[in-house]
Amino acid sequence: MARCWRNRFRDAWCDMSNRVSNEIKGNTKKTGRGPKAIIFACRWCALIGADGAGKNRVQLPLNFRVIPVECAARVEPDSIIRAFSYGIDGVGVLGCHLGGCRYHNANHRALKRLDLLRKLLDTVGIGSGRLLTSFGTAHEYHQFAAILNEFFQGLREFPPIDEWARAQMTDAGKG
Amino acid sequence: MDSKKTVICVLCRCYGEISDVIDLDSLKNMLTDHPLVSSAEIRDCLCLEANLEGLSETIRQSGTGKVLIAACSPLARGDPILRGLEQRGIHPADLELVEIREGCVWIHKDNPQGATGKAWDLINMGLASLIRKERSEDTTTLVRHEVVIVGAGPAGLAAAASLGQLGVKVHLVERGKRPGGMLNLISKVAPDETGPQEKLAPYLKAVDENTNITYYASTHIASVEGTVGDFAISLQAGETGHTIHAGAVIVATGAQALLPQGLYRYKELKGVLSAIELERHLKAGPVQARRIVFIQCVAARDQARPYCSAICCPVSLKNAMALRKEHPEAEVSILHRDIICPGSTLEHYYRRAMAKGVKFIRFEEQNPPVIEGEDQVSTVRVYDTATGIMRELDTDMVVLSTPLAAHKDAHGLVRMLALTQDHLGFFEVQPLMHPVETTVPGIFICGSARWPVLADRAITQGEAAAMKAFCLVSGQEIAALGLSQFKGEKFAIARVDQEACTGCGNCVHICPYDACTLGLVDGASKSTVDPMRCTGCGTCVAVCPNGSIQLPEQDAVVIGEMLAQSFS
Amino acid sequence: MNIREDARRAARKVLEQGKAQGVLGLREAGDGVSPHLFEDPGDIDSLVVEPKWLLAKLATGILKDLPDDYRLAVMCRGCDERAIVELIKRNQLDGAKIHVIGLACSQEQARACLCTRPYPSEVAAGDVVEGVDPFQDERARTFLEGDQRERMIRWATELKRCVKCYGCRNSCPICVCVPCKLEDDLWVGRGEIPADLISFHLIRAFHLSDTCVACGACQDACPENIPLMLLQISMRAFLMQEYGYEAGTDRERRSPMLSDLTKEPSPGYEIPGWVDSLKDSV
Repeated sequence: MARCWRNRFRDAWCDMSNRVSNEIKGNTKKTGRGPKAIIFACRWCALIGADGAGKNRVQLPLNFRVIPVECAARVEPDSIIRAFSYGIDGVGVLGCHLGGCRYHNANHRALKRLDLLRKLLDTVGIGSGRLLTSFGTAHEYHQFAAILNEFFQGLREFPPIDEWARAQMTDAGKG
Repeated sequence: MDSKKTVICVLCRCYGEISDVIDLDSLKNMLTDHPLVSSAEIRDCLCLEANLEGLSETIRQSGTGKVLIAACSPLARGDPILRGLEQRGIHPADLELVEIREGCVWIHKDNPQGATGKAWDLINMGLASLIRKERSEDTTTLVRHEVVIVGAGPAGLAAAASLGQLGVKVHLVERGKRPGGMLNLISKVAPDETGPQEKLAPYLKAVDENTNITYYASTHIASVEGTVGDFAISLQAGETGHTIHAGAVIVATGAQALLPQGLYRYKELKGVLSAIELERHLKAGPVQARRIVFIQCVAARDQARPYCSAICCPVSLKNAMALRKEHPEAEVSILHRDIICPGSTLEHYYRRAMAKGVKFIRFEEQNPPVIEGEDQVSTVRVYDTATGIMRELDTDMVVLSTPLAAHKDAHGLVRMLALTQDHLGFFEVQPLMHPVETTVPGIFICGSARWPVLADRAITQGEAAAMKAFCLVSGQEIAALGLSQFKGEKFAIARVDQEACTGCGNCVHICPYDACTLGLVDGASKSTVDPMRCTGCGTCVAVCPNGSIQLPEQDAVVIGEMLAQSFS
Repeated sequence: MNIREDARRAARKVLEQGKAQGVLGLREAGDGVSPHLFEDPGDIDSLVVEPKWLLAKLATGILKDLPDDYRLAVMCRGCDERAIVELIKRNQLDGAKIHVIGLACSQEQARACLCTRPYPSEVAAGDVVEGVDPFQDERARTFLEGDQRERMIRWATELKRCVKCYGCRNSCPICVCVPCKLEDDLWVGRGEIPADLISFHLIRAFHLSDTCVACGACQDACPENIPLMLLQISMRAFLMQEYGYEAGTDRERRSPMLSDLTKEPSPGYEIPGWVDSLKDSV
């Protein structure tokens, strides 16, 4: 399969990723750390909120990592699913409000798509609450902080996501 | 030297802001062992000029490719650091900024150990992005110093006059026999009450006298090819056709008055007319009727057309006052749902009408006036919301003020230019402070084609569009990456791996700018990206079933690896 | 069985009238049944319509090797036709080259597939029966509704049997991508048995979210009898409820996921100001 530009990356990272993903799953079991979340933040609004939170020294939960994107519409559902498969408990997609997308309503597509993804997450029992979407409500720093805190509060109610992995390994729950 | 170890990592102490919380030394040690890092060092105040100079010198001397800087946020001093390094010759695709101050230290001050761990993760994510990202290829195109203006109404004429004055070659194309657009249909222009010819005179003079401007009457556009910088527009005038080239296009095709079909007994009774028909009567001479009732918001501000057409109230005020002036004994009433007259000039106009004896009665949408009569209109019954009384007005003429509606298909222009229309048919403009720019680079819009406006505003918009077009065509060439409307360049331009592309068309249908098209390559359907139109938003990437379309600055592999590195 | 006779009659007519040069259908061969390209009206005597066998993917494949002017008739059940419509929309099939001969499914077949639309747009053979609502089926409901934790364990129990044979992906008529994300280490870890539950199946399921035609080929192909169709049902119901959209029923209408809110759901849609999933009920 001629996908040279993609395969170029295979060398150092390939084995590392697999090992790392197992480590993430392992770590949660061992240390009992709280939930972990990835936040995709749109550069034009949510990232400004995140930045503002820092400037105003608002203290936030430790276990979230921000991935900046140019527009919330860039976020692939596959990346969200992959994050869950890596053992990350929650994913947030934060974009601009629906009338104010700098890219001409690209965020509408994101919202629709993510609402649909939530249906799938719900069906398989991962839970639609693990996917946070916010369009326009994270531009100010206090809004960003409030959303993040509330999201984490919800995530703490969920069991850690590698219960899936455990259900896989053991014979728990013969359906 | 291991060829994979290409990254220089620079950790900024930030005067202690960062180093007081995060253990930079341990980070530095771990980085030195990292498979991708050639060297790691701790510095201070990278944002100071002298330090930037020193840093760029170190980078140049090391001979390796890439630099990762862990410092403050881009919105603080991070962006100036990056710009400073770029100015000293370091390629933007070789630079990555990881914000560990606003993004880590300042929000986890009470947890130094946790913050250090998080900073390590953030740096690893930054490395994942850095070693893979590329800068999108830029394409340039020569720009013709010519502009085509479609439509010679007030907006188009004003645009032509401005551009001609600036020395740009202008092609002003009008499908009708004479210029002036909707102004040809009216008696006087509201609110200044000049005659249409008088209003347009300076612009018509400019068009006439300026040799830069070529005016085509009775000509319509047959097709538009090409892209910004060089549009090839073929014109058709009767039997003859020819092609002109332009760097930009200004659309000033205006709108049309909606006729109140099936409303208020229009066409059923004599004496019920639409506002545009009244204009025709007023131009012809004095009007016979002595008891005139205007009804506003006919087929406007309702479910089907939830907008205010902006011109109808000033126009009705104008005509009402004209009727009162001709015959001071005439009874003139305006039945309205709100009188929309923003700004002080229009507000004065409204008060003048009241002072001149025009009567105003407010009704509600749910309770519209009822027209009565047999063969000829005789009475209007209306529930006056101010007094709560059902009024009966004897009348011999009812004037229905209808909104301006978009030309259906704008005479084929919609197809030809691939502009986006809203659900009412008006062309859409770029959001957020780009009132005359469409989603297609190089195509501008002004006047009622964009949204119903009075002649004054149409003229202003025409001049605005002319300025924007001038900015575009005044250079020698334009670069795709530089066509970003805000300062700076586009984030990226999407790129298709044509071998992998399945031709499904998802990107074609989802792109907010219609930048992707499908074409046959060796018999199979493949997608291509127009670099001028693409804005680098990445919407297409998210719907491509196998990831054939990507943004070189942040492709799927980068995101995937950032996820993998996010929690260690 | 009159469905067989009607089908044969329709196929013969298509060939004799020159509407198509060949009919892709099933043929009795030895003890079993296999797909066959009938080009001679005389051969149609061996055409059968049982069992359920999805021919859309085969049609895509063989058209590539047939001459450019070849018109192919396909014996289609409802789902087959929907798959063909989706393939045409996505430029994998040339609509002008396909002629659909419609077969309606029986009540038993509809129930077995939990099919909401067990008939094509035009029926040449078979009696049209009403669709089945999957949410009324006892077993299906346990995978779609009810206690979340129990549901999660139920799905995990099913999916853990997956051996990544790729049968589901290979048999799906809509899946045509080469290269495929499911074979890329970036998205689905390689060399893990059992397979990573979440990435393989959820990525596949979501890729099909707005284009799955509920044909059940994936489920039929699975050697472990994982109820893969049930992954799609909630998403299909959501698309129908919010957008009135069902994949494969309209040749012109693309997925509502590709347009902004003022086009789908409707031009007059009132765009909410600020939305976040924490405030709205999930």
